[in-house]
Amino acid sequence: MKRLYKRIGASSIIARFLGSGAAFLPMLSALWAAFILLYVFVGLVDPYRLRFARAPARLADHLYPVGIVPRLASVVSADGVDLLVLGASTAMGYTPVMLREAFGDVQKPFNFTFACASATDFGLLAPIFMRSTSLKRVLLNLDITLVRPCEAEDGTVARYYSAGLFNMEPEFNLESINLSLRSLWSGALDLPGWRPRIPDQMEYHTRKSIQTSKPGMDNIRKVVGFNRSWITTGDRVECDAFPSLRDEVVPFVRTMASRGVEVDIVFAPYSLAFYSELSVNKANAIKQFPGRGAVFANFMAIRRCTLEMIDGLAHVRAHEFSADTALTGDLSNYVDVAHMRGYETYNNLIQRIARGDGIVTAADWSATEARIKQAVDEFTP
Amino acid sequence: MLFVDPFFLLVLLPAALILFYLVGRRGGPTAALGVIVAASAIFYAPYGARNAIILAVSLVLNFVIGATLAGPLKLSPSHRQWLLGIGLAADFANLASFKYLDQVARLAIPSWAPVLGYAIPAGISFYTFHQAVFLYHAYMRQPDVVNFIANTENLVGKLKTLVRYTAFVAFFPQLIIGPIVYMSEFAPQVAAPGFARPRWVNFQVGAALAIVGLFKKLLIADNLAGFVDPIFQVAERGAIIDPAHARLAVIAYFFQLYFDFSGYSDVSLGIARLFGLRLPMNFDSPLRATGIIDFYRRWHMTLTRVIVLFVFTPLSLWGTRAAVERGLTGWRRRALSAWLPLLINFQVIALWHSAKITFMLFGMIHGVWYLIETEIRAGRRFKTFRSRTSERFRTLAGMAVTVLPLMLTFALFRSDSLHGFLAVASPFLGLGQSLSNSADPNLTAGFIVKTPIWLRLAVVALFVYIMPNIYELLASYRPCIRTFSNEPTTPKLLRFAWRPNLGLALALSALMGFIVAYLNLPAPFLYAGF
Repeated sequence: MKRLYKRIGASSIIARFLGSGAAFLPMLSALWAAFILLYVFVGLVDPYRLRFARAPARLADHLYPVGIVPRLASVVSADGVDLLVLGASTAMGYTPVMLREAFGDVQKPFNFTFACASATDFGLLAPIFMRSTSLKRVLLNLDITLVRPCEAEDGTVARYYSAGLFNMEPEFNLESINLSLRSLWSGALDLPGWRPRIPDQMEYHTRKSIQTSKPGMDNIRKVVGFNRSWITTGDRVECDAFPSLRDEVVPFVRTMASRGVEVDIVFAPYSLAFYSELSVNKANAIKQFPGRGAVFANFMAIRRCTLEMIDGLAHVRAHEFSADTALTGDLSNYVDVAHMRGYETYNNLIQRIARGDGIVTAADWSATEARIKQAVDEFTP
Repeated sequence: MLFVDPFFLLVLLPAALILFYLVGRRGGPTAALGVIVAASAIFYAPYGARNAIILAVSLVLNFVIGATLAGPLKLSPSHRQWLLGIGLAADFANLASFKYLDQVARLAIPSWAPVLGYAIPAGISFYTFHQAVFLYHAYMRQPDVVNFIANTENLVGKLKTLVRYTAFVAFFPQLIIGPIVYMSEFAPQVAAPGFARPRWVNFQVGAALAIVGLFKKLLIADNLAGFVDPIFQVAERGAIIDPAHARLAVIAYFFQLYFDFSGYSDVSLGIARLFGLRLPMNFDSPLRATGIIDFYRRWHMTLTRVIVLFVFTPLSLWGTRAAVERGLTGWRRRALSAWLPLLINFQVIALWHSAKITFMLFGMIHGVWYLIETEIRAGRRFKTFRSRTSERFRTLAGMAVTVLPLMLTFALFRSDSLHGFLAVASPFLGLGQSLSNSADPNLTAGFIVKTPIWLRLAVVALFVYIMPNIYELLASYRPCIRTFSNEPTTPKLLRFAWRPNLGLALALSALMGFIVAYLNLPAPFLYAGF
């Protein structure tokens, strides 16, 4: 080092200073101490209000990055949100603008859906949302992951919250330091970097349809053809198979309805190819729904059981669009077999939900199930 | 708890360090080791009570057997052999029951699998080997082990020794993913007069190692994981990967695995050094290996030496003896004394990771490769080649020949199934369909790559192939215990040594800034799964 500085002509004083070992440890120790102080600071500011019940930070009027959404439960429940969308990835495409336009009386909607939201997550979230006094409407997109464990790629059960929300350690990185400072300063839970970032939710508007993929469509044709003769022939599944529906989802719906909150339960509108695809997907089929025809039978049972459990509740409606082949039978509406694509698709559907289309009850479930069954049986991709 | 957990880095570690030196100053080495045991208990607590109990039972059992074997009690040789056998059998049965019983049950009786389905206790693969070596050395009455467990005559003495032994096995920097340490490496340092006394050089070297290790893990390995994982995942689901993506993914994983695991080892050695302890080196620029033999002298070195100790050496001795007894010569003799032990050795390495078909095939390929290379290097033609070529040429040629098979076998190691591996390996080699997947939403979903991946790989390759590793940089401060001595492969021009000066402090401070920016991501270390 000294030689280098001599060569480039720097003064020997600078060279001596830079070459000295005296500053090494004090400098690193000071930095470490500063990080410790910042860690304590973030823990005390608690920008997401995960630990301390204090005056809530204000939500920004834009979509949050999907990784941030699960941390916002306490803020959402306390910041005057009047429409809450709950569910997993199949409802991520609904934007605040769409929700405001569809439900005219709504001022502050919030889409609290995120990928692989599980029954465990729902059980942890529901009590937080039950504390909200501002909610007028809840749109519960009943996705499979809310009823059954969401399997990660490695076979473990995905739990979004293990990494963030219910971990009582303060989250700590540059973003959380910045957020703590800003929320303390302005009271708004927002970062400049979040606004221009194209939110992950918008991907469902911009991504290409599965129809544009030749290998994707070849695979769908193959699995639909392979499963055609038995996909809807599974045995009846009893409601005991879905304890989280009974213990988590329906009690939440009951509580909200008893307070006069309007609840729209929407059975996630998967494409008609979904059941065949899931039947051959080893990760899901073998572990969750073993046996021929079991996938479809389980999905129908989830709908039937939900309807039976909410039957007669005031302020609660259930919507079913699976038999609407213009939506679910047209794969140009989907990015894959499960997730819808395109702004218009989401916008149309939310408007239909707001208008009260597709309402189904326990009494007319058998007829609806027969129509879905026929649509799945006759579906040709 | 993981090294990348902010609670660990900003609360547990500084608190443990302060207490360690304060208590050590007043209470001596055993009290200081007591602080390490307490910190290790907190470190292990997030893995749950069940895992902690399994660890505690394993600790006590091995301690009792080890103390009996190395203690003053006179036992007949056959009793000693039995005792060692019981200890090793208990260790390996414990390990096998957690690692393999579930998989065997899944294969044999699928309906049992959900009943058995328990998770592997964190660190069991490492602390089992750690203690198995201890037992073997206790049986051999190695002086360091004998001295370490001396003074176990009264209850207080026994408890103090148990605390020291617990610190040896459960020392948190090495508990979850190693390195696997020998008592002969640990005991002399603990017994040294300067132990638990703060020394500037330990803090300087420890901080440098830990910061560089965290940088390797969080900024290089995890960065590459964002590109690698989606490709290997969709390959498992049957997607057709185009050659460009396959090649980039295989190369990226080649680097990711190295930076992830060696990053952990660097942090481990760095944290241990903060406590004044040197641990054995685990990685010595393995991606620059000039052959598979050289690779295993540089990659996960502490596992290699343990497997050689327990598998290769006894099998080779048995094979040689059997060959001599039968009067075998030539290739038959080599088959018994070297080839068979080698192949079994590599199958054990594979099994140690998991009883998966991809690991078994990985072990088989590396075993056969090792065997072929051993034979080639022992042959006359290689000796002639060696006499006619320069060391530099042989190094470069060896690296060139080694890198491609290494990359492919790493891809096999990463794959969950053979068809997943083939889906990546075939386009990598230019075989199979050449199809652009740019329009395949199933595939492109995960491919939102902001910086061109090739640019990132080029930068990483510079680190791997040109720059000195952290142990070379800090060589004059003896940052580790050398497990194997390898020839340096860094270009002479770049073989500079670091000194703890302001320039280095600035560089490390910048790295700390980057580390904090990437902290708290759900980023488990790849080897934490083993």
